[in-house]
Amino acid sequence: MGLQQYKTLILVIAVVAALFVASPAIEQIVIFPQTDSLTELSIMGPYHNATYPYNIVSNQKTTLYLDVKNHVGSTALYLIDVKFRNQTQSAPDSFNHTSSDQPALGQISFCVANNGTIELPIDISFQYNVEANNETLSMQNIIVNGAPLSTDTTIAWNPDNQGFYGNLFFELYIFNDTTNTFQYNERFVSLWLKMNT
Amino acid sequence: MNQSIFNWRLNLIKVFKVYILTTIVLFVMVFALFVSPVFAQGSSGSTAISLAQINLQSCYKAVKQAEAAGANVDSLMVNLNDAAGLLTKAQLAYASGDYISANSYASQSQSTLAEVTSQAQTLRANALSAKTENSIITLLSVIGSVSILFSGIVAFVVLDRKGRRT
Repeated sequence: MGLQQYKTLILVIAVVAALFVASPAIEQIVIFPQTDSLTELSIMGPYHNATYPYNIVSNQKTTLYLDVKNHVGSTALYLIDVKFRNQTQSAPDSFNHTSSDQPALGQISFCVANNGTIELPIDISFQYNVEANNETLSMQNIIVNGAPLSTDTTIAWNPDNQGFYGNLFFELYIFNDTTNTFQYNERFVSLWLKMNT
Repeated sequence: MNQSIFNWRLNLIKVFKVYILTTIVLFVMVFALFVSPVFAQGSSGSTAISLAQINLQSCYKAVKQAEAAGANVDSLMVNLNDAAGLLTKAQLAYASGDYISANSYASQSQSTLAEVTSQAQTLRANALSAKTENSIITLLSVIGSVSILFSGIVAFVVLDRKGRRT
C-alpha cells in the first residue's frame, strides 16, 4: 500500500499549501466593501454640542465649531465660504443643490485625510446698529477669528417674529484636481440669529 | 477801460493757473505718499495670497499622488494644514483690509509648503519602489502556488494509477 492510502491527504495538503502560498496574490484581488464617497459637514455650538447661539448682542463674541469628516476615499482639500444674509437675500438650496449668490465674507482653507475629521473653531461677533426709526438694522462688520469683515447687509424688522433676524451660513467647497477649481460640495450649515438691540 | 479789464482777467487767469498747478502737484504728492502704498500693499497681498493658493493646491496634488501610490501621508498632513491655516489667516486679513498681515501670512504659508512637495515626491518614490517589490512577491507566490498545486495533482494521479495496477 505505502503512500497510496494517503493520496487524497496529499492532494488536500497541496491545495491548502497552494492557497497559503498564493495569499499575497489573493489579497490583491480581494474587493473590500465599498462605502459611499461623501463629506460630512456639521456645526456645533460653543459647548461642542447642539446648543447654538440665538440671541445676539452687538460686539458679543461667540464660538462655533465646524466639523468636517472626509469619506471621499482620499485626502481632500476643502474651502468653506463664510456668508451672511437677511431674510430676503439668496440662500443655498438643498433641493437644487446650488450655493447662495451672496458674496463670501471670508474663506477657510483646510485639508482632511481620508476617513479623517477636522474641527475648525470659528470665533464670531457682529457689529451693527439699529436705525433711528427702529425698523432697519445695519450690519457693519462680522468679525471672524479676529478679522473684521465688512458687509453692507441691512435687516428689516420682522413683525411676525418681533425681531431682526440674520442668517449666518457656511458653504463647503471641495478641490477638483482635474479642473483645478473648487466646486460646491452641496453641503452647508446655517444658523438663524436674532440681533438684539 | 476795456484794456484794463482784459489785463485784470489775464492776471486772474495767470494766478489761477499757478494755483491749479500747485494743487495738482500737491495732489500727486499726497497720492504718491499715502494712497499708492496702500494700493501697492493690497496688490502685493493679493499676489502673495494667489501664489500661496496655487502652491497649496500643487502640494495637495503631490500628497494625493503619494497617497495613491500607497504612501502613508500622515506626516505631510500636519504641514499641509499648517499652511492652509496660514492661508486662511491671510485671506481673512486681506478681506478685512489688513494687507500687511495678509502678505506676511501668505509668505509664511508658502515657506511652510516649501518642503512638502519634495517630501511627498520622496514618499511617492518609496511607495512605488515598495509596490514593485510587492509585485515581485505576488508573482513568486502565484508561481509557487501553481507549482505546489501541480505537484499535488501529479502525486495524486501517480499514486492513483499505482494503486489500480496493484
